[in-house]
Amino acid sequence: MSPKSRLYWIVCYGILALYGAFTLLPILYLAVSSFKTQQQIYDGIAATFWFTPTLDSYRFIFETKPILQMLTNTLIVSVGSTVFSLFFGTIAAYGLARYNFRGRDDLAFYILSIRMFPPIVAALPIFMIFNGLNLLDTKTGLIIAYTTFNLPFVVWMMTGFIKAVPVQLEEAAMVDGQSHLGAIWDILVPVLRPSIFAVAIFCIIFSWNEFLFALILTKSQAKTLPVAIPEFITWTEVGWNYVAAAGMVLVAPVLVFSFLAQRYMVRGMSMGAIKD
Amino acid sequence: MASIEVKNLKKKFGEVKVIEDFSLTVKDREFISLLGPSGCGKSTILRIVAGLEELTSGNILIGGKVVTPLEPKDRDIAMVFQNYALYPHKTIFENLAYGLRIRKKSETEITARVKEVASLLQIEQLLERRPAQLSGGQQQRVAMGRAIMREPQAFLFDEPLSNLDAKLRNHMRVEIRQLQQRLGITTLYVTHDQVEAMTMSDRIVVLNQGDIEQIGRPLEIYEKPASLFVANFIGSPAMNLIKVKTDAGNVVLPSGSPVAAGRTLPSGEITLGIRPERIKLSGNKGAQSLPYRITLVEELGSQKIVHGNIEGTDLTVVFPEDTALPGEAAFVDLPLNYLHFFDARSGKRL
Repeated sequence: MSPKSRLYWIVCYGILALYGAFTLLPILYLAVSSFKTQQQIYDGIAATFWFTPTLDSYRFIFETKPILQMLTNTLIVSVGSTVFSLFFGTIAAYGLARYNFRGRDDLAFYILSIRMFPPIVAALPIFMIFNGLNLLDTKTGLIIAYTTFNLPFVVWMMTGFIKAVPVQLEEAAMVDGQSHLGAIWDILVPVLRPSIFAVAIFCIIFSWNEFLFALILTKSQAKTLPVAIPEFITWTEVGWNYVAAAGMVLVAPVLVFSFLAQRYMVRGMSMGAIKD
Repeated sequence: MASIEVKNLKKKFGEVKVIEDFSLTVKDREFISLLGPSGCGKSTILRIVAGLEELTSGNILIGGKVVTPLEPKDRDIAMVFQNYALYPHKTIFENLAYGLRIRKKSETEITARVKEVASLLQIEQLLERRPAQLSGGQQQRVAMGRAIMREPQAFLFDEPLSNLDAKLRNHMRVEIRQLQQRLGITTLYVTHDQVEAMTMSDRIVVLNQGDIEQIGRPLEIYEKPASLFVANFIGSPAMNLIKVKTDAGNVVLPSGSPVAAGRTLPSGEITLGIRPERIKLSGNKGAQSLPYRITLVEELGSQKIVHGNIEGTDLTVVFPEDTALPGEAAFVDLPLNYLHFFDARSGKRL
C-alpha cells in the first residue's frame, strides 16, 4: 500500500470513527446511566464509566408504571399501522407505477406532500375527529393516525420499487394462465419482498418512536412507551436514571431488530438502482 | 395448432390513432413477421392479439374462436418477450412448470413435460439455476421453453433476439425457425430487423405508421417492393432511389443523361429504384453505360460496398470482393429488368 493510499484510508476510518462516536455515544451514555443511581448520575465526568452498576432503576420503572402494557401497545400500534400502510400503500403505488392516467404525477406529488407538512398542524383536527368518533385513547385510533403518516412514505417508496420491476413479468404470468391479481400476488410481490421488508422496517421505526400523536391522542389505555418516559421528570425530581432505563427498554428492541434486519434494509433501498 | 385472424383492428391511445384498419390472417402452422421501424404499431398489434392491450374496435380470432373479450390467460397462446421476462425468484424448472402448475397438473406430468422440453432445448443442466445465473442465450432458450411447455395454439414473439449479440442472434434465429417448423406452431413474430424477417418468415407484413405497406413472401417483398417505404426499408445497403423525369420510354437522370426504362411510364416526375447488388460496375463502356466516379470503398470481407456518383447523382454499388475494382474510368450499367419505378407523390409502385 502506497503512503498516499494509506493516508486516504486513515482519513476515511477517522471520519467514520468520529461519525460512529457521534451516533453511538449517546446510546452508550443512556445505557450506562440506566445502571446508575440518581446520585451517581450527578457524580461528574470521572465517574461516568467508573461506578457500581445497579438494576434499581429498572426495578423502579417496572414497579411504578405498566411498562409491559405500554410496550405491548407500542408493538401493536407499530405493527398494525405498518401492515395497513403497506397494504394500502402498495396498492396505491401499483396504480401510480403501472397505469398512465391524467394527473398521475400531480397525484403522486400531492401524496408525498402530506408527508411534508409538520404533524402538529394535523394534530388538532385529528384530535377533534377522533373525539367525535370515540377513538381517543384507543389503539385503533393511533393505528389510523400513524397509517396516515406512513402511507405517503410507503406509496412514494413502493412506486419507485414497482417501476423498477419490468411489467413484462406480470404479463408473462398472465399469458401463462394467471389472472391479473394472481400475477401480482404470485410474481410481483415475491420479487418485491426485500423492498417491502425494507419499507416495513422504516414504518415500524417511525411508529415505534412517535411521540406527538401518542401524547395527544392517548391517556392511559392505549398509551405507548415514548409518552411514559418524560413522566419520570416531575415537579419534585428529575429522575434521569429512570428516564435512561425506560429509554433503554424502548430502544433495545429496535436496536436488535435493526441489527438483524440491516441486510434487508440495504438490499431493499438499493433495489432498482442498478439496471440488470 | 390454429390460425390467428385479426379483423379490422383499430387502436387509439387517447386521441392518437396508432392503428387505422389492420386485417391479417396467419394460417395454421404459418410463420408471419410484422416488420417495421420503431413506433409503427407492430408491438401494439401483437399485444392486442395476446390480450395485454385493449383494442378500440375490431375482432381477434384464434383457431376460429373469437377471443376479443377474453383475458390473456384464456386465449391459449404463448408469448416470448424482448427481455425474456423470466421469473427471477423461481428456478428454471419452476419457470417452465409455472403454466402447468396454474392448470393444476400432477407433479409427475409436470416433471415429465419439463424434462421433455428441457431436453428439446438442451437446457437440462440449467433446471436448478435461477435466471440471473444464465447467459443471454440460455435465458432466451428458457423463454422459448416456457412458451412451448403448454403446447399453445399460437406463438407470439416480441423482438426476442434484439437483446443478443450479433453472433448469438444469428444462431438463435436458426434455432427458433427449426423449432417452429418441427413443432408446427402458428407464429406471429415482431421485429424491426429485416434480416430476421427475411430469413425466418413464410410471409412478411411490412408496417408503416400503423398501416400495412405490403404483405408477401420474403423474396417477393425484396424483388417487388410495393412502395418507396418498403423499397427503402428492405435491403442492406438500401436501394438506390433517384428522382427522375420521364421522357418517351426513357427516364432522365438529374444530370440530363437518359436511361432506358423499357416500358411506358406516366409523364412527369417519378422515383427510380435499383438495388446496389444489381448494378454492374466495370471498366468497360457499353452502349447503355454511364460514367461512374468512385468516392469511397467499404471492404466487408465478403464483398465491397462502393459509394460514388453518376454525374453528381449518388449511387451505391455492391461489388464482389475477389474482383479488382476499375480505376478512374469506371462505368455502371442499370439492367432494365431490375429497375423499379415509384410514383413520386404517393410512393406506390408503378
